[in-house]
Amino acid sequence: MKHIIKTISTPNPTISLPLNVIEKLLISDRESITISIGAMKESVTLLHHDHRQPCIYLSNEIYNKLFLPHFIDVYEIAFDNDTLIIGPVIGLLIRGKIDELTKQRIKIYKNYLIDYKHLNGLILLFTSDGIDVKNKLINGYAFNPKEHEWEEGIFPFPSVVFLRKPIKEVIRKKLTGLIGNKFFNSHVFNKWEMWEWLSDHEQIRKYLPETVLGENIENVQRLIDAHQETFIKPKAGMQGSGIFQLSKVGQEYNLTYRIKDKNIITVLDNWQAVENYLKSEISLKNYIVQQRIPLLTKDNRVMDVRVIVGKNHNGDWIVPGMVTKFGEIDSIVSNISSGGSAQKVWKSLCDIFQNDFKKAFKKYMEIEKLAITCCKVLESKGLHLGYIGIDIGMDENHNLWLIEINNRSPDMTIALDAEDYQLYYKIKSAPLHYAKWLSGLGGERQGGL
Amino acid sequence: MVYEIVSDSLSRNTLSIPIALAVSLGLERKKTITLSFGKRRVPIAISLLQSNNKNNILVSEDIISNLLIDTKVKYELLFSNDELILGPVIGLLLGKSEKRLVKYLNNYLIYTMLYEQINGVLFVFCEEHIDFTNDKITGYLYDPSVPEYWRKCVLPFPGAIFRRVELSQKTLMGLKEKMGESFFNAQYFDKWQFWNWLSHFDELKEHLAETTNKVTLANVDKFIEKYNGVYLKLKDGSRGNGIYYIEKDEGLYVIMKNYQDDITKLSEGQMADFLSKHSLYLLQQPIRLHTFEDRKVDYRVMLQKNETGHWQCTGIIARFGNTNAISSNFKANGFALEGTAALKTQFGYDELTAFKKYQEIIRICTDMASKVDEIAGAYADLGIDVGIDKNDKIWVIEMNKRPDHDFPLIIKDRKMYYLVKSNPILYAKYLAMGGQNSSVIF
Repeated sequence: MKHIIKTISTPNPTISLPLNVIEKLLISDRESITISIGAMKESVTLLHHDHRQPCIYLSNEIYNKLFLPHFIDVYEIAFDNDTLIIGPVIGLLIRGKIDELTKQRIKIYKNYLIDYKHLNGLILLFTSDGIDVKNKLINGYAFNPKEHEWEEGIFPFPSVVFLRKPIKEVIRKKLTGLIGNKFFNSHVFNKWEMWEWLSDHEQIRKYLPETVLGENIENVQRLIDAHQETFIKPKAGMQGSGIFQLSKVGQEYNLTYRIKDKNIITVLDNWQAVENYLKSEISLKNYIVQQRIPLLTKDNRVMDVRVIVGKNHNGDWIVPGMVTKFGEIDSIVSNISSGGSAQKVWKSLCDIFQNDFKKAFKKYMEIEKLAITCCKVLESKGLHLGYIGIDIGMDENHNLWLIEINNRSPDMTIALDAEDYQLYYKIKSAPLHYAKWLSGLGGERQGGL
Repeated sequence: MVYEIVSDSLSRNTLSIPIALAVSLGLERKKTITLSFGKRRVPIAISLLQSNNKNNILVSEDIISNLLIDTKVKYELLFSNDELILGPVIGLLLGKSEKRLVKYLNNYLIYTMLYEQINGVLFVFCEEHIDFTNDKITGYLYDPSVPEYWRKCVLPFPGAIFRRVELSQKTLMGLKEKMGESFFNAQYFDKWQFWNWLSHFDELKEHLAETTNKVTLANVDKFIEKYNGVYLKLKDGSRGNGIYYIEKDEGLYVIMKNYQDDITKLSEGQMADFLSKHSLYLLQQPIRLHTFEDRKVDYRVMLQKNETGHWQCTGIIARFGNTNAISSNFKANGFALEGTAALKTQFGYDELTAFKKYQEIIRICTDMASKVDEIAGAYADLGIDVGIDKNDKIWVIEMNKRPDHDFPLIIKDRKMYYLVKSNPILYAKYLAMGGQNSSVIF
């Protein structure tokens, strides 16, 4: 239910709601009520009025405590868990220091607000040094929908935070103290952790290439003997950087890596030479070694699928869309940022299955389901995720393989590479819809009624 | 994971389950639980097996025949609140008669496309197959291992039923009583009920054409005064059948019937007479649709629930009608476009404006669908007709309860077509597995 907040002067802390709203919320028998705005909670006397317009009157004293900006008119309300929630008040925690932020620098964050019409309330932008734990306030910026501009000031601490940067333990503690677990995309995990968590799960295991830790050289040898072709990947690497390919050819081993668009191959005579080389040239403890899956290629370009997975306005995991990525010609990895191109997955699948549309559809849905299952498993390990990018590849037998999970600021401009603007807008607007749901004000049953 | 049910002739009233599986389901310490298969349930003793084959579950013969468990397909399991659900068991109420059902079995394969994600019993049936007395239904079960894909068998009332066919009132009531909320798209409603339910909510009413079921001369005059014209529509007509547009010109009523150029002029007395012959009709505010090159445009929103249990939009398709017809139901020279493309074409929107308008359409439709759910029972597959007027305002014209699934084929979007067919099945699975999102079972 959308409402406008106004103030009145009363001797005690009060809130006054329209009579019909009080009846709808089934709170007509109450004299006082706890209201929550952002991280703040206040107990106030409940009054009613019979004005026709949906309007909330807060007593001056309460209103001044809340630091609500004058330029936000419309808030939504819901009654849940014995508390009247007024909001949403959503924050984005971004990189940098408050003094360094300029309107020019933070302009890009407006991209998350393209569907503000269906959000309403107060959307805030802040940095780690802008958190005032004691007063439950932030020093930062608030979105002014009338001017379509960020405005600097002091605002209530949000009830939900979408993290746009990795955070230190001290900030995690502050957030937990203020809003419990209602902050998301905070975890950074490496490739080995991901493999360990997911391989635990029977339904996913068959989609994972066999993987060992680089520091366990016996396992590395066993892996290469079993599969002949392996990748050596940095645990924390992203975007396909720093990847070596190690292959066994007869008794010899080829170590391939890529410098400036060229594949450099080092031939090593025997396993001992490999071991010596790896130990001297690569800091193996920072690497994993993985069975190389012969992924499908098109015109000698490796192909895989970036699946974008996010939570929606009902708190459900959904796949807003996916994009096919092609690597550079003969490159060992597929990556847009290293000069590939992207196209819509459906079209790629129809090509792969030679216009057997039913097969293409089944595969499409299998990819979606695999991606969503991964997210649910990661969640069950205690991670609070809101949206991530998952790379899934396919081999010649059309089996799917989980290549990588990108949880640290997954780059969604990939939708633009595929010239899919609708997908781009969908992805950009999704996290704050999820945030709104987390704050207790989303979901279809509440639906503004 | 999927499991095979093996008939156990040596025990009675027992379910024997590998220890590892019992642990992962959380029932290793249970002595007795309830086993449910579709709407049938029995208390059953648990026995733990030291078995290497952790995908086999042994069930006593007597239980298999009591619950009517089909042992040739593979199942998923869900354990909560001392109840073990073996399923899903999904029924699709499709055929008007057994004869027609059998005739169209091949067509129904489209509903089984995602069977690999569904598992369990997915069967089609018709009204005459329902045996309320003996609490069972004879149906055709999807079995990919038989050459003809369908196998006739006797099954319990399922965990969820999707209705997509005419039904007698008696059977409707019987199924509603038996199935409750897990019988979806069960109850059909007409245009008047739709208005009557939703017009009490200001935020919804704003997007609905004013409607009355009192078809009187006074009301015709009232509507014409307010809106310069009025529609006379069949309460449960669809696809533009039975629509008249009425205006007033120099004291005479000017009536135009859909798709026909012939215009009738009636005096007040003739008009009253005309109205009295249209008792199954209602009067409705005419929406002045924004036209594109003289074509009326309407948007069909395919709003469905899926495995999340929530409403989502499977797609929007806009029909650009033939020139000059009252409604946009297009005939020979109409054409269709995907929703976003249509918004861009019709209004000249850029990508971002089209996105926002598209979201607004979905939001309004979802709010209405959720409210209809609350008032009239469970739906999961609606075809909603939306119009956009000359001021870019969104109007919801109608909600179809047995929507045409072929819309995506008009724009040759096969993926959307398969999704439209699959979503109700995914939702049925969600319902049949206790309303849990069961793709991850720990």
